[in-house]
Amino acid sequence: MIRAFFQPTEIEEALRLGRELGDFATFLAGGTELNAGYAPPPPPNLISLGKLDLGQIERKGGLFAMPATCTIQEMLDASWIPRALAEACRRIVNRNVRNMATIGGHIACNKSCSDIIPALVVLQARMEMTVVATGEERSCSVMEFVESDPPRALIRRILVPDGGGRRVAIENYTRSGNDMSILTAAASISDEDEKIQSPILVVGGVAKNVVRLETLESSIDGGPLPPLEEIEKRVKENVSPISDLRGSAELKRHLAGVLLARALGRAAKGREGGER
Amino acid sequence: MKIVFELNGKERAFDLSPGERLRALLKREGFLSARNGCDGQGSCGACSVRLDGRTVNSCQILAAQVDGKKVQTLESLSAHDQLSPLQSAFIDAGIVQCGYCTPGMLMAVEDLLEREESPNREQIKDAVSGIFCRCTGYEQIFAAVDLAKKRMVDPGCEAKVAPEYRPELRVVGKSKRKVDGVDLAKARPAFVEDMVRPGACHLKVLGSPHAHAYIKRIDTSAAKALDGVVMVVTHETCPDVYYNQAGQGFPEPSPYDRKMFGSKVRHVGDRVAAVVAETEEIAAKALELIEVDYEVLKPVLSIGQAAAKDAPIVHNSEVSYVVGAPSDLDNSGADPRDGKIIYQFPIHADPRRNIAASVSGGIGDLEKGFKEADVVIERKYSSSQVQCTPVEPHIVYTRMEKGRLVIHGSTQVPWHLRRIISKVLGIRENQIRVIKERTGGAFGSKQDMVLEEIASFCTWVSGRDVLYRYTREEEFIASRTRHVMDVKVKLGARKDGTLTAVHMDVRANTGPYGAHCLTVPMNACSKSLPLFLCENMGFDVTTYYSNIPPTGAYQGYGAPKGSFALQLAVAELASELGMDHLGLVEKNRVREGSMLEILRCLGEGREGTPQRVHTCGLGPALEQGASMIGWGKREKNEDPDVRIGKGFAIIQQGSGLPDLDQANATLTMFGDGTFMLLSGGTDMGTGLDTVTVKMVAECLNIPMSHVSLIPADTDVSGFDVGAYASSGTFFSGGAALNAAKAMREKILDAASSMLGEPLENLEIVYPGEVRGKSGSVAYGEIALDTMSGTGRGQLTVTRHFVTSKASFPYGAHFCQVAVDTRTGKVKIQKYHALQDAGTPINPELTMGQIFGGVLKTIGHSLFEEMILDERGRCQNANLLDYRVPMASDLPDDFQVRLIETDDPFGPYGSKSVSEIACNGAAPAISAAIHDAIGVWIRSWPFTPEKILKGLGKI
Repeated sequence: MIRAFFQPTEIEEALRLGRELGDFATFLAGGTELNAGYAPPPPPNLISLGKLDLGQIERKGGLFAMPATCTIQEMLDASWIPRALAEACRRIVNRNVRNMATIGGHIACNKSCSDIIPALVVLQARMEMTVVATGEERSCSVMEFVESDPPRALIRRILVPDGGGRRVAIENYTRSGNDMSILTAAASISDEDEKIQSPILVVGGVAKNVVRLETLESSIDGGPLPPLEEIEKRVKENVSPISDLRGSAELKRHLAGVLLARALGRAAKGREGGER
Repeated sequence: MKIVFELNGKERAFDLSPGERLRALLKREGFLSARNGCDGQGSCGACSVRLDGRTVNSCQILAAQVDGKKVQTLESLSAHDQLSPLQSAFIDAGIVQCGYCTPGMLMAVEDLLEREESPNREQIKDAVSGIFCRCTGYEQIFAAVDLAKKRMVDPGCEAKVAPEYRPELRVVGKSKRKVDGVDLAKARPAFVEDMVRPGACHLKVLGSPHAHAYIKRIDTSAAKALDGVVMVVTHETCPDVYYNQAGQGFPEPSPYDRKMFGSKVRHVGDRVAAVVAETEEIAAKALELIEVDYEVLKPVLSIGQAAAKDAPIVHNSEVSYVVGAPSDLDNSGADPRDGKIIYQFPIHADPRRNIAASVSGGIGDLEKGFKEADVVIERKYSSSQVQCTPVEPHIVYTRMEKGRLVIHGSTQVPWHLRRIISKVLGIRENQIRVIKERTGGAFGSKQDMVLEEIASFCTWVSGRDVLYRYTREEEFIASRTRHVMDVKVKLGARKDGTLTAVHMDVRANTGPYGAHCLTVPMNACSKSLPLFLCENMGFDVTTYYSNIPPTGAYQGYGAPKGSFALQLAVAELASELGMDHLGLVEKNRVREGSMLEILRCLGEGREGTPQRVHTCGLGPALEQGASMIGWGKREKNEDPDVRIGKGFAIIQQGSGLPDLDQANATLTMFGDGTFMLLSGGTDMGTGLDTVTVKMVAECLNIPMSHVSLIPADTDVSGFDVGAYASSGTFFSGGAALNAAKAMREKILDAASSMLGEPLENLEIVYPGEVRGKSGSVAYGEIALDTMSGTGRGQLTVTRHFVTSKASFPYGAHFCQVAVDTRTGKVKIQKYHALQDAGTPINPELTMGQIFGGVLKTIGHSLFEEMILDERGRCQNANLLDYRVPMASDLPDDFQVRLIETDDPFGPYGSKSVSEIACNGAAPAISAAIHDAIGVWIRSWPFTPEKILKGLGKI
């Protein structure tokens, strides 16, 4: 049962509350996950981030910068965000949810089938946060955040390199229009020549969190685009999804191969949806 | 805590608890528009409001989060007696059916129109992407937005949203404003939840965690001792009365196989105990205090498990018959803990073998027919369990008034409800009043008494007001779903395509209790076989008990599953014969003048009657549909992974149940010549109330505004079986028309006296005047005369409608799909529904019902499915994981064409439209998938796994 709702207006105040209340409190961003009827009961104290000034969504200094409290719809409304990122945001089809859900909250939830995290990873996005316990300012890549067990922190900004010289493509698979993705895949390569350079290959829905297929990346780095059937086969060999009500392991493994191969193919060929 | 925010333009301060949702705050402040369809999951959008201009789910937001912000609810859109352009456009475009989601839709589109002056189709879909509507199929929202934009410039702009029919008639066949539309679009009190008085108690039920178990011990003492608990009910304290919850005409074919609470639970979520308490929180706490010991039994979850020789017996009950008990009835071995089963008449059940009902029949000589065939195919088609998912879950509010029980219900069957509750409570029918409020969607699930009898009992015993509302999870596991079926179809045909024999073997899973266990599976045959003309036809139907969540009625009532099987089998036969599917259907289909002998053996629990087809729009439906879809033309696609295919199905339903259904209507003239219509018709949002008003207005040559209506109140209106079996327009509309015709005679008779002219000199002219050769009298003058001290008495008539004639609506559905051969994903590119509804009384609402029925069954075909684990627990009992069709699922090209026929029996030539649209999607889509990739998918939903396996990809 929620006993107290705090609305700090200063970051320091939010951090202080976080420190003092410890495990008996959590930060509340948009609330589309924390307040949802299916969610586990939250701790008794909520520290709302709604009145914090974490800055504006902006394009500056070679970066797209998004405050953590920026909603998914606000990102979409900023027409200049990378096309692949916009495409990923649009895959949260429910506009009512997009109007409340924040990018910081989305990343903090760190869902296996996140639509946006794969796009951020292949775009080499980074995050700025403040560790609650120590007040330490930290910066890490989105992938580092996703795959590690980060200390409790207040996410402040998401930074996406502007014009990073990469071709990007994302794919996802849903059963129905508003369904959560069963599988997500994203690929990016350096936009230097006809060869695959510095690939980043990401799959969601096959493990606890979004995963990066670094072995596969290394094996194709510097070479020509392999046949997509070969990519598909090797992705399937490198993922171990589980069967659940969203789909069988067999289906997910198959889709992981197909979708990542498609994403890589699109990125390499600069097909529609690829981002330069 | 205290917060301040701007609510509909005014700064307001509120005291609240930190965890209170914004929706709850708005509700307690009297804002009705923030509805609740998903218990805070954020998957239905019925609670949508605008927060700082953006549409959000108020159930997902803590009220504290809006401190300092601006909140706008639907109530702000227009003044008391006005409609905003958007509100009026929504009603007039036919996008308001049950109206439960309408406030959310309106807020979302209001938001859109402030952002985009001329939104396109994709932008409109995006705007309403968070709002779940089960009735309308979303498609007409595009016309509504277009109309709203025009009305913003020209408030008087007339709606032209649907074709018009019957030019000689004034309101029938024309789009006229839905009579309940204004209330729904303005979120005026309309639904059960809006009627609840302060201080009402809350009822909650403890559901069984086991699919199959005996209750060995139950201790409710701690719950009863909890402060605020009013009463607790269990199998030990409930009435010892057996009944069935199915709302069917008495005597029902459904077995009386349950009490209010049993000592055996038969599905996860089955009733164990009920608590009535002064608050919802206390009721929930009390449930936690009830101790129950179970003897857990092995559950039966499939038809195969139920039919197995050593299957656990779901109803090892003592059996008796009101009439027709078999001479070999043997109750030895019955377990008293299983209770009893009482059959009103034999339905060929064998509960010891888990058979809830069975029936066989046919015409001609099947064996001979198959011998004459050049090609014989036999295929099995199966289907999953799908849920009706009305946006408004089941709800009832009961209270006492002057010593009588008043039930505010969201029900399709007020009179059946009164009858059954009278029996269960052991009180007389005149002690009960049922008021049918607006239903927030029903689709068959509210044909049954799912929760009303518990609340009624508690109110009757305690005298307290009681509110009982299902959660969304309860709606899935303890409401109604479509019967699961396996259907084997055997077809024989000559080389030229002539059918020589048709046989359907239907195995159905009715779940824990036998609601509709005979009639739903029979309907799989009775709405499928008569589509084809073949001398040799037969069917076998066997329904099994099991421990899955309860099944029952669901729009289409078995027909969608029979249609899927038979229509797809015919498509497969065409493939085997090397014939064009359309050509094969044309060769064998029903047509005007056909005599349907097969109906002789397809009565509902009794012998049926062969019927002649008097009107049949199948010919033009097939011709136009084939032209629209480009039948026979192979579509090209640039993506090598994607294949495109086309398919179609022919469909039919009935128009109520001849010789079984009855409707009544009373019409009274008021002092100024206007009228009050008391109709038993039970409008579920489909527009039935508008139909009955139109019947009177058309017949009496008056504006619709001169007819007021009180529908479906058992104290006020006459008996009506209710809204099921596609009976509304035909029966309730027929009763209203019969009453209007009788009133017309009375009016003419009175005018004849007043004018001193013979009847043959008189005519009724618009707007409510009788004209003779010597002069005329207005209805108001007639009213004054008849109600004067020397008058003949106030003009009032009551008439009923029954018929032994059947009027079949027909249709053809065509679709075009794109199948991704590498992912198994199916995209519906085109869906064209061509339907013969006789004279469409409300064309825009007729189209809306078809759009809605189609989209619902596209969902059933492609992704809807209740998933049970090995213990019978539903794993996806919420709208998100179950997946319901949203605007994002609309076919790219979605069209409805109405094929006009003039039915000789329906009022003003009408036929039904409410269910038939559910019968086409599954077979048409599956046939199209085969056309695209050469794989027959014989079980729904058509999952990517099935498609990829069919292609050998996984």
